[in-house]
Amino acid sequence: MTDTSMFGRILSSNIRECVVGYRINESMIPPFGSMVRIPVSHAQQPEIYGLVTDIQIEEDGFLRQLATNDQVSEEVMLDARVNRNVPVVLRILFIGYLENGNISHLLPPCPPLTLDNIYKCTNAEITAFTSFGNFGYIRHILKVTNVPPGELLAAHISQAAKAQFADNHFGWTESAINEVIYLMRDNYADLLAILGAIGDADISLDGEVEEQE
Amino acid sequence: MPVNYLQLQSQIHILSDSILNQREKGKEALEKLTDQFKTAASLPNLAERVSAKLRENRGLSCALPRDERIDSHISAGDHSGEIVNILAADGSQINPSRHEEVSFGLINTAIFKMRMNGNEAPQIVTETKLIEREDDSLQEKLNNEANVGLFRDVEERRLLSREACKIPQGELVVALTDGPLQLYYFQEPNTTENPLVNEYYKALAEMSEKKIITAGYTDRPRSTFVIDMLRLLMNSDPQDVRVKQTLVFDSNLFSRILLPGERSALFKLISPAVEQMPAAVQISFFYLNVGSDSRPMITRIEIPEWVSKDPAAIDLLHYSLLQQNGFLSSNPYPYALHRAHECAVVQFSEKEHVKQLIIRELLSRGVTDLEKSAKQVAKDLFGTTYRDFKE
Repeated sequence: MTDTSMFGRILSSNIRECVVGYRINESMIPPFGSMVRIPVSHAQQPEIYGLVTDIQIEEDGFLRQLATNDQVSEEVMLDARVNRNVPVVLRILFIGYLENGNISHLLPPCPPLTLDNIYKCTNAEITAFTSFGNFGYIRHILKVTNVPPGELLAAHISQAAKAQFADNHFGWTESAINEVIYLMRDNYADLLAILGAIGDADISLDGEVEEQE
Repeated sequence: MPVNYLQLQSQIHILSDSILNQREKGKEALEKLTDQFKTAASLPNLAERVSAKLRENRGLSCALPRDERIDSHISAGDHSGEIVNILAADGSQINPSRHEEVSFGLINTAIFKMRMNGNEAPQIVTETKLIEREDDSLQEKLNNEANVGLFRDVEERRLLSREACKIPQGELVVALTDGPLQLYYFQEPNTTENPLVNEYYKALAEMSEKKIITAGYTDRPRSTFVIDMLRLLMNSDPQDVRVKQTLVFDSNLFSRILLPGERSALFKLISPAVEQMPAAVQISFFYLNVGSDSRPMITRIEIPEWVSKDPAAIDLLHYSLLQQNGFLSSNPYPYALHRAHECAVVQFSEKEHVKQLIIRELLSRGVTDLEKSAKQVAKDLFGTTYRDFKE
């Protein structure tokens, strides 16, 4: 993992989640549901893993005034995106951590500190984390409250399935969905909503995202 | 203690009466002045007449007509698509306070640079200066706020000139500051003896050499230069002319003359302070309506002599200001100036942080007697408000 995948810094955190700020002109916004890792700065271990559960583009009164104009010049738009101190804010749900080379699907022992860096996960990291154990981290996703859990799960499975497929781990998607069905077996209504969301993501069971007609 | 609202009630009533009364008188005065303005506009050799009156009444401040008819209302040409560099400067300051643990002054200056039609993100340059107490020749003077303000004004112009002069020769450059071009904080009569004022003239001279279109933008001006000119022309009693009237401002007069987007004729500013300035930086001005049909908003634009002699430069400045105001059309003000202000302003928390950095440095060098004054300590005590006592 190189530093080039660093995209933001922690603004606030607790043991379950954190809020990250980064400049709006960053070329690659980590999409909703994508996996990220946060090395806790006071020690390189643990490294916390999380999922992007919300992306919010902040505003201030001045931008509101600009937005009411009929036309905004290219220079003013670039100024707002490049120079103004209004970050994009991401919310990250923690789903586990890595310590001494061992992956855990428990919540991290300590939260990251403010201004710690945050990185996008590589395919190898996604594969290693999601292959470990018996999908224990999915329980964190199912308890998310700020977005519908099914939407988040569908986005995550979509990303992870591609990484697993690229690593020749066939059958991962089916196992993940079976785990979801097992965990939600007593909550039929929510299970249907989650499966509906996963169905809309057009993920094939061998890991490939199906082409839309 | 809170404000005594009971006492205020009757005073607010009296104040409102007074404001309404002034407004009524102002309306009458404005009618008369509008007629006088129209009469003056058709007088032959108006500039010579005003000059003659000024010779009889030395020491007065007023407008002197230049080449355009004074009742002109001029639209801007179309410069859309032209690459124009817009630079704006603003500064803020921390005034020294003897009540703090350590007394220090700080000037923060920002330049905001936009290259219109260049499709580039604007650039921001900031410079922060601690005002040193020992090696500054103005050490004693910097103990008062006005002198820190003067230092800040000069820093704005110096940095503006430096950044404007970096732009390659041949490119169009408009350099803006907020407020009059005349140094606001400078009130001493002998300008040439003050090194800061010379620094200011030097910055202007550099911009003059590069033909940079320099302007000072005054929002909601309360100047009466044109009205004073009318009173000088129409009033035979010199004593009466010297009494400043405050009922009507030039902006009231020009809100009746200028349509949205139009500028007034160009006037030369005559005042004892401006007369002391070098010829190249003598000031002219025009009024500009940046408002709408239903809500005229008159601003005053001051320009130095080299710009006022160049009609093409005035037209480009006129167009650029309308374009800049258009970016904030619901509350027109030049975008670049607003951004320069945003970048320059020193927040209270930043002031505290700088102070802590200085204290830390002094402590590490063995200074231990750093204390706030007793008055400041009492003021800073958390919760010493009327409400908290009550609770």
